[in-house]
Amino acid sequence: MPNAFRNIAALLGVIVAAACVGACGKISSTDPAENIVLTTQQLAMKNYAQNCSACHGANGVNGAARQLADANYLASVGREALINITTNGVSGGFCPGSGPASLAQWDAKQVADFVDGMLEAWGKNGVALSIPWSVKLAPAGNASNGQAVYAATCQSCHGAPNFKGVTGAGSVTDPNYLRLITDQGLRTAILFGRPERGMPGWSGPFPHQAADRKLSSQEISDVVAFLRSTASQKQ
Amino acid sequence: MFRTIKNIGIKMVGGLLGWTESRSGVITFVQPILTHRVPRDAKWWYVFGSASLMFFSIQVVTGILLATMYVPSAAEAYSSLQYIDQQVPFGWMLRALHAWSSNAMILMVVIHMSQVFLHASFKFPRELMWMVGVLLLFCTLALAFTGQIMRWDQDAYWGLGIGAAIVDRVPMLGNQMRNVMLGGPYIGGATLSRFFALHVFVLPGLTIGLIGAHMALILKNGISEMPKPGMVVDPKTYVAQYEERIKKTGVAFMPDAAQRDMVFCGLMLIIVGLLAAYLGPVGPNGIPNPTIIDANPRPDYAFLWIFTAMALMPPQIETAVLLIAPPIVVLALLGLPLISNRGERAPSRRPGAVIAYVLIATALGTLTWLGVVSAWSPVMDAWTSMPTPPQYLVGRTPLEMQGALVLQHSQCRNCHSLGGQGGLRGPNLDNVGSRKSWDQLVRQVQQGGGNMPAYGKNLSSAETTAVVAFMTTLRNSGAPESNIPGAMERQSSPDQAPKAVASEAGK
Repeated sequence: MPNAFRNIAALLGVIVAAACVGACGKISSTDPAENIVLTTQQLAMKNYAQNCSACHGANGVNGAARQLADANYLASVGREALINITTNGVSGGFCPGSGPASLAQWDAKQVADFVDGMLEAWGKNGVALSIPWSVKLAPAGNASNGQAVYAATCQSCHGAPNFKGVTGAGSVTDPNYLRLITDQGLRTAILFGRPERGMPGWSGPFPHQAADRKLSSQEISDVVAFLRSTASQKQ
Repeated sequence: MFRTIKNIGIKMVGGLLGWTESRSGVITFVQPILTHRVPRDAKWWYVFGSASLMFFSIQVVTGILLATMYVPSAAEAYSSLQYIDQQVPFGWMLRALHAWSSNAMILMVVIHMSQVFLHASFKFPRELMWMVGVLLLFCTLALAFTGQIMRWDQDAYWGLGIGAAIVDRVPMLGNQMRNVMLGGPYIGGATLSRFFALHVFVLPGLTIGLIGAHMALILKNGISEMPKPGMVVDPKTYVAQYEERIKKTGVAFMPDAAQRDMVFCGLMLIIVGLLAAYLGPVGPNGIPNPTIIDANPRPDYAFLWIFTAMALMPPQIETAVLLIAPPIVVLALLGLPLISNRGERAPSRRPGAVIAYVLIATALGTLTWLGVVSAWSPVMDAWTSMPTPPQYLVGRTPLEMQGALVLQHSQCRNCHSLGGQGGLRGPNLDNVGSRKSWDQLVRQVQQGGGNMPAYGKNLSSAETTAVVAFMTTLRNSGAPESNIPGAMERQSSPDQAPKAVASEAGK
């Protein structure tokens, strides 16, 4: 009988020890009851993964849509425009936005917190470009100037204006592509490039061009106007 | 000095015990229960019943503690759970223990029942023990279902809705039965009160009573021996033979058999404690609001097989199955020892029973697994939360990149997976470019077919072109393009192909 009691006592000891280990492990790890308060940045990253990562890529890079983990891009667009895009999406584009009218139904504070968290995570030390990002602030474009700029800086990768194939970086004068992208989308792509895919932004370097060849705000507008003109010629 | 204190202590305890015994007879009552003789070969197969009882005791203790804090009102139940999780010290652990111990109890009951069935322990003279056991199984499941309602979240709300819809289908009495169940025609405050009363008073009381009966029958009939081939149960001679064998070779329950029970219960307790500590409480999930349509309610594990069966059953036979199957199952389970109460007990001599068990276990296991995967149901947040696999974006043209956006934005991935992520309703798209040609893809996207809705009206021709251009790039890497019958060369846009140009011009 005393043996049985000793076994039972030992067992109880093991159980209590295991429960303590479990409970302590619990307190120091992520709490399933979510009673740990997330920082603005953690919350933004959680919301990003849930609502944005499908197109913009895990951790803000390598998605089909624009890379958001880009401090200079975030600084150039600015907090106000980021809040607007997050709320309303991109008009004429695919981004549906997360504002009150969307499925996510964030209110103004949730949107602002999200943008602040994103700026905290990815926007540190970002420098706004001297060239305006928004097409609303950009000069009007001239298509024939744009054709010359295109031939000099874009053509070696994207092909001649009448090229519709897939070699190189692929056609950007494909009318279907141009119907799916807004002028703002084109301007953003030319201004910032797609660094993760090897496409240079406004400051180059462009193949077969002088190393210090940079595009001006006017030249970017011209290229956008030229690209638009190829589509309208087509239709 | 120490010896005197010890002697006084022994005298006091002895005196107290003697005083209690002389006035209640408790020791005379308990001693034969603790020392009743059990078969020597009753080893590790026999621990599952005790483990079920232990988990039930844990449920009673944690349940009482939870009842001191839980508010059974429709308006406050949800927030009182959040209060227990977040404000009460170790409240989350209490809820976690209650939830995991409930799962463990169901598992132990099912294993216990499997053992009794496979060893044919339900045969003479233990028929009534089996029947009481079957009632205990139903009580356990009813406790689990009503407990799931206590969470008062989306799962609870829709679980109730489905339960009410099932009851509603009973001919003639359906509406009245539903009103009794819900406390009115709709799910509301009265519903929660009703299920609270069931979960906290009626079912535990019933269970305790049935456990008492189950135990009394154990003492009356003894526990069965391990089955041996050739050792046949004959009601005429069995009892005398059993008594004789037990007298000769049996051992006292305490401590010989009880020790094994305690070791197993202790192990199970550790496992459940660790599960509770590391995985935390179950739910509450989203708030129970019927206007939230992106809810993704799932029943708890014990009921997933029903969920699957209901999801996959052709709608025409639903009512018939719902009304006919449960009575058959109940009658079959209760009537089993009446149909077969004599003869061989060894599984090796009862191939029919073993095959039946394997079939039922496989069916329930498969249905449960399908319920976990629930491939028939789209993954509603795939389109926003599952990144396009980066390798599928390398070296793609601007049009194809736009196509990748169309694919996400049109929620294709809620039903079609890419890189192992996404819905399982439709085929995965990882190598769709090697399965279908450009024209076939355009047709499939625009007209749908094979359970897929038509997207022709939702997508512009540019969007269709882009998404098809993207999909033609999704091929088995390494499969040479020229060897794929019907597949076309990768192309950026249909106006490269003469046919498509003609049709564009025709518009």
